[in-house]
This record gives sequence, structure tokens and C-alpha cells, in this order.
Amino acid sequence: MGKSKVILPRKLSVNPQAMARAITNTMNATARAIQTDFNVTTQTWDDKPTFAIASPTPYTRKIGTDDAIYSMLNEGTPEHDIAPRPGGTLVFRTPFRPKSRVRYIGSNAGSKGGNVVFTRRPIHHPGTEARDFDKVIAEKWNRQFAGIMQRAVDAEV
Amino acid sequence: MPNPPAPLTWLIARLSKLIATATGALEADYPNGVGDWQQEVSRQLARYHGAAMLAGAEVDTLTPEMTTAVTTDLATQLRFLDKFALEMQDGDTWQAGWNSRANMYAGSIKTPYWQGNVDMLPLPAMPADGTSTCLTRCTCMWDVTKLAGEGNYDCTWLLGATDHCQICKQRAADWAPIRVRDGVVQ
Repeated sequence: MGKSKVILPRKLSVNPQAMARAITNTMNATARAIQTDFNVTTQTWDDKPTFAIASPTPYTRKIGTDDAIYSMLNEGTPEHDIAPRPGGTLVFRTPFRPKSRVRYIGSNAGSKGGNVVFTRRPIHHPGTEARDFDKVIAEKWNRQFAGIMQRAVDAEV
Repeated sequence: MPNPPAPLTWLIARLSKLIATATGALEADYPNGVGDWQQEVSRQLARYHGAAMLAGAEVDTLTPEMTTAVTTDLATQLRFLDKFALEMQDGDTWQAGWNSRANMYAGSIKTPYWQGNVDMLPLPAMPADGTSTCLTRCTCMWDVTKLAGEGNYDCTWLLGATDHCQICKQRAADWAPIRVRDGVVQ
């Protein structure tokens, strides 16, 4: 979390209940905003992952998914070879156009590719570049955090 | 899709005209006059941010909390304006995109307007606050329904009548509504 500056009125600093509510609202509002941004990164997917908000402690929020494909895309994969099963054939389509971009909160139509390729030889997959959705979304909302907290504080006065 | 509120449209149109006039004068005198232009646009932004908050909240006087909110939003815009002015000062010929870029500042008063309109509720984002891809072009709105009891609201992000970005579309789907119960955002 980055350095944040919030103006705290005196009457709120002596009201622990209101202060607690302001912090909870800041956490909840920011979590909802982050969850929505994650949803944007998969808006054009056919099988959309679910991004859940968890509250492991009163003042902690975790927003994430257990979707394996999303994690793979977010973190990237190294280059690797793909071989057909013995006696089998590899089938894939080309030219593939991804639905997402590195460090971009959004998603587009993409394309699986119109040409079907059959091969009995191993192919070299160049790997998947990490999209870093989690990092770019965290950076964005770190910058907004003080403003959201100020709103939450102001709402309590 | 709902139309933007008339008072907000009126304020934006007026501010837009003032900024366009100042920018037109700067263009004629460029590369001189950037400092004066920045001062004039800053002054108008300060006036109209306050006016937008008053119009949104439908009150005559800003509370200290409203003043803090206005100041926070204004500071963000003035930081952007500072960068823009530096870019202008560093250049030697007028750039075609500068007029429309300057005019985008008029749209920034949507944020204090909606903050006032939603009764200062601690919602995740405000239209045109820079957290959506459409930036100050955002035409979305909050629709807040006050429910029975203290601190109970249903807050729905409504898409504006014009084009909207992916983030706003998602907000309209996800924040329909955001529930506030006993003063706590759910």
C-alpha cells in the first residue's frame, strides 16, 4: 500500500465506531472497485472466472480467483515444446489473437484463428507473456485509496 | 438511458466555453501566455468544482466535508493541468490536440457533482474521476435510492446515453446496486 494522506476531523477521531465504519467502508468500496476491474479483464471471455472478495480479518480484503487459466495468463508461462501423443496428431488453429494485453485493464474480441493446422511433429510454444493484471490493478487502486478513504471519512462526519 | 442532469450540463457548457476562450487566446499568443492561461483555467476549475458540488447536493453552502472533497478533486485536476502547462511551455508550436485536451477539464466537475448528489456516500468511484478508461468524458451516473431506516441505500451505476468504456459497462453490471446498510458498504 502506498503512502496516503487523509484529513481526519477531530470529531471522528474521538468516535471509534464511526472511525471503524470509515475504515470498513474504505476497504469494502476499494475491494468492489478492484473486483470490477478484474471482471473487465475477462469481459469478452466465454467462460468467465469468478473473482471473490474475502475478509480474512476485519481490515483486510483479498480479491482473487481460483481459475487456473486466469492465473496462467496473469503470471505468464515459459516457452515449452508440445509433442503429439505417440501415433497421434496435434491440432491447433492459427493465427491466434489474444483477448488481453500486458498491463491493460480491458479485454477485446481476440481470435482463435481461422486456419486449422494438423501436425505429427512437436511444436515449440513461445510461452505466454504475463499480463500482470493483479499488479496493474493494485497500482491503480493504491493511487485512489486515499481519495476513497477521504470519502468514507467525510461520510461519517 | 437517462440524460445527464440539467444543472450539470449547464455548468459544464459554461465552463467549457470559458476554457475554450482562454485556450483560444493562448493559441493566438503562443508561445507566450501559458502562465496566465494556467492561472485562469485553475481559477475557473476551482469555482466550478465548488459550484458542481453545490448543484449536486442541492444546497447553498459547502459543509467542511464538502470543501475537503472539492479540494481533493481539484488538487488532482490541478496536478494534471500543471503537467499540461509544462508540456506547453516546453513546446514551440501549438499542437492540434491541445484545444480538445484543455476542454476535457470541463468534464472533471462531474466528480464533485456526483459526490454531492450521492449525499457524500463512500462509494467505490465517481463518474469522470479518472478511474475509468473514458476519463472525464464519462457520462455515467449514480442512482441512489434511500431506503427505510438509518444509513440504508441502494446505489446503482447507470450508463450514460453516449458511448461507454468497458470499465463503465462492467460497473453497470456489477454495481446494480451496491448496497449500503446501516452506513456500511456491502
